[in-house]
Amino acid sequence: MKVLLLAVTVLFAPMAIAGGFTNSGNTDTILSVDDAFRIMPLEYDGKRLRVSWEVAPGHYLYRKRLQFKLLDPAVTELPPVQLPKGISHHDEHFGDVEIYRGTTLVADFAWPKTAPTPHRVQVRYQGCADIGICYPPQTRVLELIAPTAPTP
Amino acid sequence: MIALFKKTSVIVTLCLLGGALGFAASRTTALKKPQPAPTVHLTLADGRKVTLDEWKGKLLLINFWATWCAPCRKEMPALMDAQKRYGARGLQIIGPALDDEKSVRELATKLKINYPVMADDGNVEPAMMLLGNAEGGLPYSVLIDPQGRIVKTVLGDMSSTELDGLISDNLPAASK
Repeated sequence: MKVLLLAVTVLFAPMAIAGGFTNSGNTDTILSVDDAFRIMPLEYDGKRLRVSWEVAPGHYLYRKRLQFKLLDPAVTELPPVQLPKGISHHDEHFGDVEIYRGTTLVADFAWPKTAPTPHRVQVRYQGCADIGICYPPQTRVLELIAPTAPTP
Repeated sequence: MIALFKKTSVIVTLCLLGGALGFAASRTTALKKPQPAPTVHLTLADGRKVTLDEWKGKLLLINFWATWCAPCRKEMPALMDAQKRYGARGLQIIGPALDDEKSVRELATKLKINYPVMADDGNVEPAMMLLGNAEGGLPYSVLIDPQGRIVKTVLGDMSSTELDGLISDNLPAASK
């Protein structure tokens, strides 16, 4: 009897959880791309430029699909991006890839002293959710609102 | 020891089954009353511009996908198998892609996709939104009955069992 009860619980618990999470068959609660990958305001303190995302639990961004372009001033290019080490992930279609999941992802650019202040950056990114959906590549233009105080 | 192993195996199997069923149930939206599909425009591989009326009289499964979308590619063998098995009984699958023409053509050739796929001519994403995909995720499938009414939508990849159930439940009675 105990085994039967346990088996029934184990069988139906994931369904109940999944049903609750998605409002019983309604897809409304599947996150929009902007909630899945919440992009934060552009940060610049005179030494570094930062682009960051809050990646929602159960979602991930592909490292190789992150692209950055400085739009303003257009006279200079972005320095090489510094990204944290991601998680190795084997995909049966795309091979070995690196992903960022359930974390704050910071793309960091060491800003040369002589370079002009960055005002507008174009960012492209693409990611998926563990439940078996992928979001189309996104392009956002981030504007610097105000430089932050330099970090010591 | 053997009894414990058997018990564990049963529990693990049920857990996996429960998880699979839970996921399957969570992403499918069945319309209480089938709704007429809106007019959407697509461009076929030969350049011809069509609306969904092109397939009126068929059970139409529109599968929005992209080459960069792993879950989309995962479900493709099941879609091709379904087209092969149910095509003669009135099923037509079509695959508008959120992708450029070259990527779509290359993958379609490589996988020998046996249903029409179409590249994004600028109308694919608006079509997907019009057909109810507010989240914009892929793959997204829309089942339309022979009268041109939306019966079900599914966000996310389907297993062959899910797909089989979806199609066989909705094939016209005479062809089941």
